[in-house]
Amino acid sequence: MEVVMGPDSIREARLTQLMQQHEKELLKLCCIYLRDVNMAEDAVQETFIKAYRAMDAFRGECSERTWLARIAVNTCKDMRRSAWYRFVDRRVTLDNLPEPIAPASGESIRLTETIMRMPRKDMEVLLLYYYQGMTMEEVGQALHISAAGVAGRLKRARIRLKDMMKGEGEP
Amino acid sequence: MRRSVGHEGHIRVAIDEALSGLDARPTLQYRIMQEIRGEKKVKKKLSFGLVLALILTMLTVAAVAAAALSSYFTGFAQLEQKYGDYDTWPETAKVELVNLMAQSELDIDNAQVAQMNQLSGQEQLQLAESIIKDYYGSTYMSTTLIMEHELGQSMYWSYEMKALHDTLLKEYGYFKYGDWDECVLPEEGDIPLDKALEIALQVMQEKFGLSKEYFAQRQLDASFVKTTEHPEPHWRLDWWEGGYCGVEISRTGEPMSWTAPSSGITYTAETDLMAGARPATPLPTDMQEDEAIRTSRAGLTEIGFYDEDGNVVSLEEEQVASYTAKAQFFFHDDINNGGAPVWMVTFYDGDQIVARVLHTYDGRYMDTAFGQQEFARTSMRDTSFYDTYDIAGKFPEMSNGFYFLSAEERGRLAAAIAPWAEEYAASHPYWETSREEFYYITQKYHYGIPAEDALPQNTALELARQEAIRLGAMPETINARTAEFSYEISDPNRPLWRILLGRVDRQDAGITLDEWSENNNCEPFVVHLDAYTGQVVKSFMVTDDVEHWEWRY
Repeated sequence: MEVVMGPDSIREARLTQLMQQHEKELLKLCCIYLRDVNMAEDAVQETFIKAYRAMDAFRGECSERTWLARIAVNTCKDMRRSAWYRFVDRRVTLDNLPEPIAPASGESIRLTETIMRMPRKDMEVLLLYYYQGMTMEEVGQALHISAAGVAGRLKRARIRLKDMMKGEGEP
Repeated sequence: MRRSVGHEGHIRVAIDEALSGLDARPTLQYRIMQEIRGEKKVKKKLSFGLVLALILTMLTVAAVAAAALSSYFTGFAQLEQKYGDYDTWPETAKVELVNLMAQSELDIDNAQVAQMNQLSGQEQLQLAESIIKDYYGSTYMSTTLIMEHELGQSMYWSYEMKALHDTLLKEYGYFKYGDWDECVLPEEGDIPLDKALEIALQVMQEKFGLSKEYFAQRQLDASFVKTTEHPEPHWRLDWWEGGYCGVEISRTGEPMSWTAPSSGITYTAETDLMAGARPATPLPTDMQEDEAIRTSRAGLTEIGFYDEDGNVVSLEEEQVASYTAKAQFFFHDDINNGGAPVWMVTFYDGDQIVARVLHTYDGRYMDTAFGQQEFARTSMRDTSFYDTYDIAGKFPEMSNGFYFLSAEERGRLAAAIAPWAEEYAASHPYWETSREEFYYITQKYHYGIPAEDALPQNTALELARQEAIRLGAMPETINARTAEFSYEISDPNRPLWRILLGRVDRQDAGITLDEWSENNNCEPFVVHLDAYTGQVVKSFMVTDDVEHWEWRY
């Protein structure tokens, strides 16, 4: 089937708008996921390029925010396949990231660092569900697992997060 | 499962606060625009053999370069085993590393290495660190990082290098998490990569109509891997550009699973789409059966498919007219996430299936699967209420979610969006099953601004706390629970305070870890009070069995 593209200028304008609206949030999401600002930038760049290419196929089956988060998390997943993350898990701190605009509370820093240290499967469901505010169905779609699978992972992730926050659990 | 109000409920706030320094990057937008404007669209016919060769060449080049470095990678991993994490290495280890780099003929200054070996103590360490930093541009390293430095992104390493990497990590102690896939090398008798790739390309063409040219332009991520789910090693061939898709092939060459490039649904030989279908009856406003068949039949003449030789074939009108058709209207969890029903029209030539065509309930085309193909695009939901009315733009306070609004804000929001909700509900018959948050906060419940003569919020909170204690919450920790308030006016004659008391920390509650997993005293409580009398109308503890809309809004 022939796919007819819209004029590039229209698509570019749309892309610019998407970048303005969602870049910052996606940077945070990718940064948490990848634990590295530079890689997060690469992931966001890749996300928007993928979104641009898929723009004509996007029919509003979910919100743009959800759509972009889905692309971003899969891009990060793909980047995380570079398995060195297994190795650096224990050394995650926010020291290498840009200073917060306003001082963040100790609890916020600890919670964020803890999430960054979590195993990938736990972290991604927590990020998509609680940070991105996706429904379980949307999380399932993003991660290619069933909603029931999401529910199971969320349950485990919550227990792990709680234990890690208490310093009693290991990722 | 519910969106918790413990640590998890604060995730968004915590991350936004902790990462507030991460601002949008103007250069990033520039880079993106440059990239898309320089995008080249290449479309040419390639022979099957050439496609295989093209894809494999990309891997082979990397493999040759990598093989020469294997001893360096192994040497580095051994240093890690000996000294632990790089940032705790003693001085002598960094000197050892520099010598290893020189022996492995990495591109470093040998004169500097010689000089380093003449020095001792702090001077020697400084020079060693300088050589390492000059080469890597980083002050931290690991086996994986040095491999990525030499070979690029790990997903595109050759399968041999992936296996080497995982062997090194496993052998030297860092491959400790059970749920990671482990790359290994094929053994004698296992099908080779080129054969696996040939099978994979055939599968993608047969199942999703994806041409070999599609893959010739995309880089292959090939692994021979064993996973928790499939402990028997097998080939996993993935393509990430332009939407993930992939095929898993057993070591003997049997396709195990194939993942669609658009929907991301993974199919196996056992997948029976209709097994999960829940038949439905179209509403009068939906597309009806005869129209579904007529539209699908017309569509078949417009849509081409690839034949075995990769040529695009279109069906002639007379041919399509001769097919018998069967239409089914159903909900399916894998289609539109179960939120809206679809029409599937199956065309038969005799008793052979020619094609299946999928449309949304209101007649929007979704996908066609010819012959034994699978559906690739199975999600086409209605534009959400949130996006239709640009809620994010009009109500910035909603960007953190409904949960973070005060009772007054919830009431004001509800009043402002009520007319839109009415309009949207009238034109979206499947809004309820879409499970969109706004359905619940505009249709299922109605919120108002607390009346001046109603119980004050603090009084309602005290009553809610007493009720939670009655239900089993620990009095010692009741004040530590967060509280969310709604003022519900679904029944205008009996407004309610709806109060959600958040989860309490286990340690604060003095419950041991073993007790905690079984003890639900930490869970949130919901209390609905008559807004004037304070009488408890409804109260319960939130457990996994409670639907999220019953307590969350």
